[in-house]
Amino acid sequence: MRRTPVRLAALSALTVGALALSGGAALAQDAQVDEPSSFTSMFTVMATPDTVVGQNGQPAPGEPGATGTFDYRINSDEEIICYDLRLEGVTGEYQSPARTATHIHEAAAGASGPPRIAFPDPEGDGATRTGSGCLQGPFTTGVQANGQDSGTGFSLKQIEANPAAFFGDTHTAGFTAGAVRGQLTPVPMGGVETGAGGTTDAVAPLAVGAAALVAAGAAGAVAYRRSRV
Amino acid sequence: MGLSRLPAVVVLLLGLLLAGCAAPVPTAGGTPPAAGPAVPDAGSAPVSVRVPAIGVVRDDVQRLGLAADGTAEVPTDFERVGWFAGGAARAGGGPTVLLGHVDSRTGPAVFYRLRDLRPGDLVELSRADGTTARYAVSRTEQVAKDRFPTFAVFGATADDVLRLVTCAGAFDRGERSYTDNLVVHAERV
Repeated sequence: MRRTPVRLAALSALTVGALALSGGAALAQDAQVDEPSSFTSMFTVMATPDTVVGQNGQPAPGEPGATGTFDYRINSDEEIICYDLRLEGVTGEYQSPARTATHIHEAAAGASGPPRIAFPDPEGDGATRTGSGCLQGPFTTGVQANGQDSGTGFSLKQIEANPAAFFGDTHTAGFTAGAVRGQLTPVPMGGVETGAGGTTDAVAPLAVGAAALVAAGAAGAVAYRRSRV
Repeated sequence: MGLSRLPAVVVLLLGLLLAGCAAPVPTAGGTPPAAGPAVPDAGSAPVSVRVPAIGVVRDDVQRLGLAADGTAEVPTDFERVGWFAGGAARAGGGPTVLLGHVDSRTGPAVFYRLRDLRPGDLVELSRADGTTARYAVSRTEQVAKDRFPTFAVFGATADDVLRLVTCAGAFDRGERSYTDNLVVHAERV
């Protein structure tokens, strides 16, 4: 799904102010791009209402019973983030001062912070709303802070360096501080190496080089464990 | 990412041992995950696992995180079961992912018979907070490692689900690695 509707109805007075300052540039969408051939990192978010924090740093619980699962795949070399967003039980219109109401913000758990990426809001009939696609930076959110867009200067490498300092959320008219929110957590990439071949018919030769054998002498246990367990 | 938290000597040794090899880095044992939240929820950490249908009884579940190359750490002991402590694990919900070897270099390992699990078979988990939860197997899937369904295994979910992962498929002698992973999905009962 690559639709990126501009939700004019959801724009608040703050954004109108920002538009006045930026001459309307805030409405320009960040570029939707094709999925890259590889990724440098992957993150998941379990978004819940109980973790939502208001601008003042105080708890501001979101929509009761609602959840969000946000999966992100990043290629930080190409500055591309692919997203698969799913909201359950989030109701009502989206609302945010930003261009869209579904974001990655920069702030640790329990704190508030500015949006760095604005995603197209998930859509759907009934209790489930979904959205998928890939965006390429430099990112803009439509929120003006300190005279510039809150996405200015942000790089996906910052997420890779410290994912716990970022969270995903979505904002609605009923829960402007956030209907659901969750911190980014990294997930493993690729398959899981849980076999050494000892039950296969062909016994594999030890693929250990001379240097490794020297090291093995010094640290046998480590060498053993390193051998494709 | 996260490499800096490994003891320097381990990093040095791994560097020596791994030149030209893209193998994953197992945890040094008992160390916190190299990345991710410090502790998603200390009480939710599994400490023991029982799978009666295949004779698995372990009271020393090992904590795992991300290896320096971004793959999942795996248990250092072929007979132990590991728990991926990063991701979206949390009390009362999210996926609990357990990793175990199918075999060592000499014979079967702790999850050798994972392939024999059938829908309805039970898995019992005891957690650090003293709670015990039972899960029933719902399905098994074999997936190629180069198309591993990362988010279907490790991704956030609102449901309290369990996933058991080991190796399967053909053993690539050159790579010293199986071609596939076996993923058993189980749901709270």
